[in-house]
Amino acid sequence: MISGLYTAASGMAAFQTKLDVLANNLANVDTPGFKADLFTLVPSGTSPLDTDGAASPTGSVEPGQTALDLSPGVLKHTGNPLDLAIAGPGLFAVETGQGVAYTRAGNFSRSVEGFLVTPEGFRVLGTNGPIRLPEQGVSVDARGQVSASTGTEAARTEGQLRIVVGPALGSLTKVGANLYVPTDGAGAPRDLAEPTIVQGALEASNVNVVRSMVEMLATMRSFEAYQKTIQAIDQTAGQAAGDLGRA
Amino acid sequence: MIRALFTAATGMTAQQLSIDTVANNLANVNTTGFKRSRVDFQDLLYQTHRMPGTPTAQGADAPTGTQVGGGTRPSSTQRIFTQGDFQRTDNPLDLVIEGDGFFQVLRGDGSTAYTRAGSFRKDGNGRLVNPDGFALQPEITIPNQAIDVQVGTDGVVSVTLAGNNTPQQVGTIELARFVNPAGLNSIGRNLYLPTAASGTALTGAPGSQGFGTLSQGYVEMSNVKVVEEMVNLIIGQRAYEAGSKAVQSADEMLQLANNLRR
Repeated sequence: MISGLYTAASGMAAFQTKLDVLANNLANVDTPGFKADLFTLVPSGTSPLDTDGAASPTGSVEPGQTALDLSPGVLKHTGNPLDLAIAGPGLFAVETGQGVAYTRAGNFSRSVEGFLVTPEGFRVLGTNGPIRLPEQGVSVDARGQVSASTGTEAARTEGQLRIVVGPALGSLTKVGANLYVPTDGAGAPRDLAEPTIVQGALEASNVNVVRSMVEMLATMRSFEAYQKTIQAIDQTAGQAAGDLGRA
Repeated sequence: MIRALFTAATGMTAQQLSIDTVANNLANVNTTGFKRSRVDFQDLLYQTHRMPGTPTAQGADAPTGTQVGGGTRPSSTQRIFTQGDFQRTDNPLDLVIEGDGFFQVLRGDGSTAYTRAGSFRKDGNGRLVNPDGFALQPEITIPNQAIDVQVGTDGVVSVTLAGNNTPQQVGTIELARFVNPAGLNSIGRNLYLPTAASGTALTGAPGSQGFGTLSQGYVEMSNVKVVEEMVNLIIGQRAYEAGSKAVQSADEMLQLANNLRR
């Protein structure tokens, strides 16, 4: 009886976390390169009470797991030459104060020193160190080769963007600011030989508003169902303690 | 309290800024030399409840962890310096820059400001000034007796004086360029000031070293595209609505939690 209370309470807590995740997805519906978090509930398995390993009716719901929804976002044309989007798999590598991080958000700009930088000022890495932009006429081809084209002279290659792919699902941890770092022990991402880069476009967030709304409704109703369960258990317990003793 | 309340609120605040920016772009759809702005968002810090690879109760390693994000924040508002369309005015003192560069004007406090808006006029002394009366730099004075003013694509200003058929050169317009024009500080009145992010101005003659060329008798229209802004407005409004629904859901869940004890 009492374990049922805890089961229902763990369910409420899990669905509360799910709403937190959904709210974060919805808040980032307009964040370039954002990948939604998928939340899944996991049963905790057998209760510690049954030692013979039999299926237990008194399990609880663990806080759940999040996984990255790696589906591509829509490529939004911006016409801004320093907006880059990766069509297909891959991540840009950027140099932060705490080492190399990775991002799908290609809303870059030019720093005073002439480097290609993220909105935080982190330098975007090429295969041979940070990408330094030409004075003018930046052109990035479909393979990520950065060149200067002034129209009067032949295009001059300035560098090759470094695009990486993670070794496995769950091998990247979000650290905010549209950045990912490799998860401890997951191994370093490897360079992608033939990426597809689109210049003048940004990858929109892949959050599906309709799906998020439906999931939010379902979350709320599941939360409510657990709440009713707790109330029912409470009522039963109240009757057991109060009414039975009266006879 | 439910974190979702605050997370959703960050999304709503962000979309509010997005709508503000769209509104300013739309308000300046007819402003000479105006460059539209864009807000870029980024996700906030994540709380990692469990790292991927943590052993689960079943004895296996979890392939994924649990990360809960804290919402979004605007990372920057960025000006997009794409070329605006040309509008023919036939006014000889209307100039447009085809390509890279800014006109330099001297502000009242002695500092130089930069602008793409090339609708100049003469002040009482014949100097070329912008609509606010700030003189174009280097200063160009049109003599009183001038009956015609010509500005070459290379910025050379010549005048034809009454009773003299040979045009006379009175000065050359210089343009300024920045390494990172998106880093300029907008101060209103179509003016920009340099910042540490934009770098210092590099000046040169129109048409040289990558500077744009000048065209006389045209002004550069705003580069705001109404359809694009309308789409952004719809996205902003719906995203705001989605945030408000998340707040409502969080509120209702809190209410349910409070109702556990009757």
